[in-house]
Amino acid sequence: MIVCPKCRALNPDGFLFCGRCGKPLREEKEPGKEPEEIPSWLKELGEGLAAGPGPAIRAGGGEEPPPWLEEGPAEEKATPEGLPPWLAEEAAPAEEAAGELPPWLVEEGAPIEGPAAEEMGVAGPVVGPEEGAGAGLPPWLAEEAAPAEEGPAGEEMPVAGAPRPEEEEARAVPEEPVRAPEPWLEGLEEELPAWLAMAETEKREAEVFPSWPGAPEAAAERPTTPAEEAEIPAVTAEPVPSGAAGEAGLPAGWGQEAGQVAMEAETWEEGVGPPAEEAAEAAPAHVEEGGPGEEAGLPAVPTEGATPLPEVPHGEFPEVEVSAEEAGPAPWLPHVPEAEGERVPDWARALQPQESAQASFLEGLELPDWLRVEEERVEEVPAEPTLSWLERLGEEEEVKPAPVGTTARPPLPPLSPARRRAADLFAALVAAPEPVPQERPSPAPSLLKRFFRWLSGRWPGLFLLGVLLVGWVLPSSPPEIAQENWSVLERIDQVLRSTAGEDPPLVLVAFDWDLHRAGEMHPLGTALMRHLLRPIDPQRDPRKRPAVVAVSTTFQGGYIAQEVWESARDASGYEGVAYGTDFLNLAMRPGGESALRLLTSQPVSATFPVDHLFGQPVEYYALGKRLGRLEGIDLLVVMAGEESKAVAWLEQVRSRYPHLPCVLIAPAELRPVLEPYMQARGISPDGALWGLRAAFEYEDWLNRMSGIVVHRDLPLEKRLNVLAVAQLGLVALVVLGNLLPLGGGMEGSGR
Amino acid sequence: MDSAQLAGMWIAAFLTLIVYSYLIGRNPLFRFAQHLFLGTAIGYAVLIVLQRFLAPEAMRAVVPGPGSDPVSRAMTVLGLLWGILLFAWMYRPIRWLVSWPLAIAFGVGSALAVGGALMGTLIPQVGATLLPLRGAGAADNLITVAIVLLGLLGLFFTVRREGVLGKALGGVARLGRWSLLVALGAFLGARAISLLNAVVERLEFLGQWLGTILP
Repeated sequence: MIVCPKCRALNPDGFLFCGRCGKPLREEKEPGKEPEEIPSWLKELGEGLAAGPGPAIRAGGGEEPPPWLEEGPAEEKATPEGLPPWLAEEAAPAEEAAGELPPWLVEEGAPIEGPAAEEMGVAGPVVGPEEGAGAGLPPWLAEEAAPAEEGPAGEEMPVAGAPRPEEEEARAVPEEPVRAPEPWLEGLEEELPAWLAMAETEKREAEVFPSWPGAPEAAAERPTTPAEEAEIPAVTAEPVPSGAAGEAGLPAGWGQEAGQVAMEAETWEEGVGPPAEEAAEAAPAHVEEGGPGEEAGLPAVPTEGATPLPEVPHGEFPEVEVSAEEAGPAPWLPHVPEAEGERVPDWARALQPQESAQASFLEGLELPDWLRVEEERVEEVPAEPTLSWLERLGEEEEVKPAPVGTTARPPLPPLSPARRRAADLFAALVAAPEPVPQERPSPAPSLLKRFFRWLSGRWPGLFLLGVLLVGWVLPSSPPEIAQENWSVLERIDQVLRSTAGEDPPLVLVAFDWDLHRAGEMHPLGTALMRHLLRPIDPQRDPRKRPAVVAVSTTFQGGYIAQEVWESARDASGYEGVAYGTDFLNLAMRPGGESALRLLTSQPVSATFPVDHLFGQPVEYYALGKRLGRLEGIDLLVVMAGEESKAVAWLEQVRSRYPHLPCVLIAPAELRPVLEPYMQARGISPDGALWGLRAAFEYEDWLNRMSGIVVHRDLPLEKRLNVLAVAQLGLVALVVLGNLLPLGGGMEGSGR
Repeated sequence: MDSAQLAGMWIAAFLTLIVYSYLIGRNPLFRFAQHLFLGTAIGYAVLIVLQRFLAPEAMRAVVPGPGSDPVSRAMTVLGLLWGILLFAWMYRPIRWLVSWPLAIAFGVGSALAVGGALMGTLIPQVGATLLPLRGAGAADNLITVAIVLLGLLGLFFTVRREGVLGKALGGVARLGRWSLLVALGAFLGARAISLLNAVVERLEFLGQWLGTILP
């Protein structure tokens, strides 16, 4: 039992925290009830205790503890009827009990010598009984020896090897420092009894010990062989009162004075010591069970006959008189009588730990041997029957391993009425069939509703479509030609007219745009081609036209150039234009910027070796033979549908030929992006035409200057009108889209 | 209009309607038109490259014509072999050979791009912003320079917005960011107008197609 240091409540062993106040229980234990290091055989017995009155103790005294707990273990008399079988066997006759005395009790008459004596601080090789009596006692125990001496138990302690008259002499020197404390015991000496403080020392000695003496009956029946006699320590080789108790052997150091010790023991037994039966009666329970206790750290009286068994104070150990007839388990051990066991509630029984479960739970832990449960110890026992009464005790309590997969399920605690009702309700819900949702008969939405629902998600697109149709219907007004576009067109015309010599001017047109730009670029290309292919001076030489060479760095460029050329060829006023002479489509050259870089460093025919229409080499055509390097080009027109294409031409070509007349034609969308290039010195083109409005003005300019009519129905004029209305509609849509959430309050805008 | 042109107009009109059917909802016809355009574009590009570029170049390299330059032919052969190495990607043991032509391609491309950007864009545009603030066009130049400086300050984050100077810089930077937003809005509006132009062009085409059907 563990006493809570805070509220002083009793807690079963194994509790880490107090059941009443929750304070950790490691600090203090119930004094006198149990030492800190509990032997395994005590621990196992304590588990039953923990399983019994646990709840009552946890409840902080709210329930009545069992009677055995109230009475206290000291007052309870052990009755043979109440003993379990394994303990009943221990209630052997006095001779047998005497024969089962562990060697540490038997060799009480042996003097302290060797390493044990050194560890205990005993000076001198042999310590007499008078000296040793006080040597093994701490001061607190020596003080307690006085009252214990007067009691019957103190008088009947001859088993420890200390004759009573000598105890008084031993008490006469109680304060003699007989041993040096272990370092780890410093500071704890006052709290721990000496025999407990020496547990570590004894444990180390126990490692070199052979197993405990075997069963006395087995030892008595089996004759001792010479070889065995050689293994038996000198101390136990001689007959001792306990018979074959020391057969298993003791440390050699302890047996050096075997003969002398044996003689002294005999002398003591014959003269002073009580008979073995009396010794068994006089020995308290914890001494009687002291055999394994020595291994677990219980006091090991070092000297035979020198150290009497320490008087157990009432507060420390229970006083139990065990007679030969009433021999049984220590009454202070947790034993619940049958009548009391029946009072344990069922839920407490269910909480009682099972031994098999504990064994499996502790299987993987590195526990010391004395902490191992009985089942594990059984596995370590050799096949031969041992002579230890404790090991035999273990055999009695064999724990059958639980079958795999059939672990008994502990009974469930009884349910309260409220919980039982809840469980019944849950079971009813589980057993009930899953409810199937029933569809409500709803009328199918009408076609009008479905149409409006469809419209609700597409209203922006439909709004723009309506705006376009409105713009198509509205009357249009032709815009005036912008000054900047007029100047560009004049610049182009001036270049074409100013070319001197017999050969017509050579114009290189880059068709670097794709079909998705056809809405703007196709009218521009058409107007440009009409301008370029018209006779320079129709009155003087109607056949003299500029030579146009089309190149491209896009896949669709060749096709677009061919289409634009054919549209101009089929128009009125362009009769006589010929492919290869007036126009040459050199298709495309993959490579982008690298192709343009090549174009600036080698002849055009080397960069564009074949034409697009027939795949013939450039030199095959008359116009191709004129092609040389870019220096021979009179005008460069770049039609770029993307910013990258325009920038590539300006960076790679225009920067190398800044004096080459150059005009940029691009969609209106690219104007904000390319406007900085228009202001950059060295790469800026001589002019630029942007988008559909420039195409319309180009057509208008051609009509004014040369009488060329590209479109008689003026589709570009109507398209510009539609676009103007669409722009207004788009702005209205943007404004409306931003005002609607504001009109709906912060709820809409916050989303 | 001959029959071929008329057939082409009908096909183009149907494909245009199929593409615009996406406004109603995604449908198999739209996916068909998508795949058709994609396949046509790729096939056309491969055909153009093979027929108009690779085949003539290979013929000129293998069969020397009159006056052909042997150095140019050797370079052409080397370029073709270099391009063939790209197919080593399909065979794992020699896949490492792909790195050679790719290294050449990326190296030349990077050099051209960086050189062109530096000499053709960066330096000329920096020079274009150093405008005189006197004389004709001083107002325009002042606005240009001011917006350039505001835009640069809008991206200047290395000064804490604390104190008088920091808060002043923060206000100016906010003005610069607004100018950037105005520029981005102009780009977006121009893009919208361009797309509207494409829509109008398609509607005009559909009108012409309907003109051939309707009396």
